[in-house]
Amino acid sequence: MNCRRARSIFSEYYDGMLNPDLGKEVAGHLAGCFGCRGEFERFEMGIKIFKKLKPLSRPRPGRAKRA
Amino acid sequence: MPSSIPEERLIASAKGGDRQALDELFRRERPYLFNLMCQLSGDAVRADDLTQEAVIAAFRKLGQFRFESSFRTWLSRIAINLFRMERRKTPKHESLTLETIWVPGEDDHPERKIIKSELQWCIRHNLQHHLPRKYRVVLILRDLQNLSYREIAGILGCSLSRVKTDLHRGRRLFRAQFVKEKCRAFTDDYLCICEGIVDL
Repeated sequence: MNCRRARSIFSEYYDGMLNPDLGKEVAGHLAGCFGCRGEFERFEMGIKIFKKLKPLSRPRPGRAKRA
Repeated sequence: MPSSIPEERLIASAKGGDRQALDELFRRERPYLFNLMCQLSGDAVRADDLTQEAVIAAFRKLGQFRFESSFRTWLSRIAINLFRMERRKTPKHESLTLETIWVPGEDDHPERKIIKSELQWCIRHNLQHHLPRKYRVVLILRDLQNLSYREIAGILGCSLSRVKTDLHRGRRLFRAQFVKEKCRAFTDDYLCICEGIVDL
């Protein structure tokens, strides 16, 4: 597997959506490729940051209506 | 009405005109809908109105529900369509201020509170104003609502491969906008001060 191919399926790899053989190929590539490993860590970090978004609280009754 | 009644039974009763069943059905789904609308609009007041509008629209269309998807999927589709229509009428880039973002306080450490507020502001601003809508919706459904690829495809009425592509591009774009070179210092500081972003 080359870098371009590995990076194009990071999202599915992160979600565990790849078939087991392809998942192993990506894992093997990441183990041996410093560049892609760093790229995947940054990709993963972006998702973790995004998941930090907290829910807003429901407005109290009687709040101003939208214009 | 007991909350143990299965959803299918409630829907059937509601379709038959049972008001209590209808109330119970929407009582169960309202918090989910409100949360989804908050994530999409970034505004609790708008989200509250959109939730109400979605419930009314769903009530009117309930007779058309054919159990081909889950009730939540069907409801999400109605709400997202309403959000899209409403979004077309509003300005593209409204400013957000830190004061408008409510941050739950888990501890009283002032430095942590400020960092958390800034992070929340940055995520929300990035999501609302720097991600194309098609990516924003798919990211919210997957990474905040934890829906499966198949459920997302059902809500958006698109193919599974479309979901995969948009999710991949959306995640890359979000990260690129958020952790771009000039923001790295902030992010690194953030990691350092907070002893690991994952534990926040």
